[in-house]
Amino acid sequence: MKTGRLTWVLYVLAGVAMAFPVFLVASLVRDGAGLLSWRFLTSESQPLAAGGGVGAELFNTVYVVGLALAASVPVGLAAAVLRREYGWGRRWGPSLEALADFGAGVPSVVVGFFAFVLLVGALGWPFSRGAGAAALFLLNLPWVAASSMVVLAAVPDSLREASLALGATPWDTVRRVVLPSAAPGLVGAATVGAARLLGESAALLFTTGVNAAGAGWSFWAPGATLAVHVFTVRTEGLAPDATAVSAAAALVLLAMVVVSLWLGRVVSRWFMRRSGLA
Amino acid sequence: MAGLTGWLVVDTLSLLSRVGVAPVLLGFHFQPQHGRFGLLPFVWGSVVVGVLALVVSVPLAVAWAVVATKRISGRASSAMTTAMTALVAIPSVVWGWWGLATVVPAVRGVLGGPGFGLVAAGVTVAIMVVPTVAALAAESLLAVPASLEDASRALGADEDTTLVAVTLTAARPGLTRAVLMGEARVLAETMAVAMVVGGQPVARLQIAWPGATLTTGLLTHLTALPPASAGGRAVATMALLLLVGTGWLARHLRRLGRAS
Repeated sequence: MKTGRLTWVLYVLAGVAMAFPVFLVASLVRDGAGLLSWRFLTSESQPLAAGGGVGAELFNTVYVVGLALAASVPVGLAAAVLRREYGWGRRWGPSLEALADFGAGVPSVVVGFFAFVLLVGALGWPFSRGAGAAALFLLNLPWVAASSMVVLAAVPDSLREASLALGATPWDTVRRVVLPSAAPGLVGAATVGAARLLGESAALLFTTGVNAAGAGWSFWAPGATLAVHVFTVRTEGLAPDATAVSAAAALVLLAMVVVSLWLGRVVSRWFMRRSGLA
Repeated sequence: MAGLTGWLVVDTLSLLSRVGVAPVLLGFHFQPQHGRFGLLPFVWGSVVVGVLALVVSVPLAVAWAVVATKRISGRASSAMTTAMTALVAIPSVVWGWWGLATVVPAVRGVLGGPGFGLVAAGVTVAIMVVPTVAALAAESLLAVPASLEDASRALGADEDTTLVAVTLTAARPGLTRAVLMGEARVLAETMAVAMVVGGQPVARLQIAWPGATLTTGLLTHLTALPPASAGGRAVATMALLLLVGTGWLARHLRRLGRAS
């Protein structure tokens, strides 16, 4: 069949659209790949001199994002299970789902603003990894709750009815029937949340602070994550190699996002195979 | 959540009663140190960035989705759709890094001026949300029943006519949803905008020149102005305007989600 004029236009536009991400990665590699080394990943950052690394930022990223995920995923999932499987909050009708959807769409800078006012302003917390983790917890909770509710809603009622008809208690039904068949979707939702938290910086700029002190494991020590580091070095970095350092840090950040998405896929597949879905 | 929103409303009302409604909502300058609390620069910036992002991202995203789902097949097609969802996860600071390296010099070269500004912000964010809009658009295009397209072809329509008259028409609610989701992300975007917008809280018609948006205004003034001062209340008003904007979009998205 003859290719129409509109189709040609679409091919060109699609090519342009797909060229941009390629261009992005190419620019990062051009400016930053030369710096990547074991030393860069483990050494301290240098505010004024060349040759800084991202050791502390890498540690802070794993620390703050790990803490936020460890808190928000169980709480969000529990809220979704109580709402969908046990019918909690039925009196409010669909407004709880609406609230979770709304919360998931609140700009992260507004979440950061709330966290700053509540924790740093009202409660007197210092700029710290703890305050940052709390901000990310607030950011991720509505997303986990909202997406878990969607995933649980997709589990066919016939499965629940079969389990209850065999005499299983509601809790047994949740634990042995609903959660296993929802597991691949739940893992997917948690993975997307993790990728989003890794790249988050607007909610962290005024909660974790921007200086990365090599402060051991302290919850109350300030600790900029990689994403915050990319922003600060790129916009106000004074080191002569600020462009290269921020590009290399962005490459490390991208690698972490890719690895977390890949891990999520692997775990999701494993759950699918286990429950015989694939 | 409700308590915090209530606090934002109280702060907003007290700012409006002290400074006046017109100087806040219609003021062209935000200079807290000179007692000027005009929020128009931020609203104007958000509107300009939102419209620019829409105009630039929608053709690119829809073209990507159409080519991936309706024009090619097999492994290349699934690679193109997988790429969309993976690229959504690129952090916005990384796009901001690229905007600073590429978009700002390009705007400077084409339109003159410093390069930093609302145009640079709009283009950077537009390119950032293309994968988001494309992924959702592809989903809604795949949901169009093949029988409709087959019927169109059987009646003698060529591929282009079938696409416009049948596929895109049938997928319209889903496509609208995709565009609004992209727009919600644009309105909420902070870091990629902050890195290229230039950060000047002045409303002006030269959109290639430095400006500010509601999100970057909030980010810049968050810690700089004490909470109980008029400036702090202006910051709370920005947050409230953002919540209202994104809440309105979320409401429409829910309604569309139920319809499709």
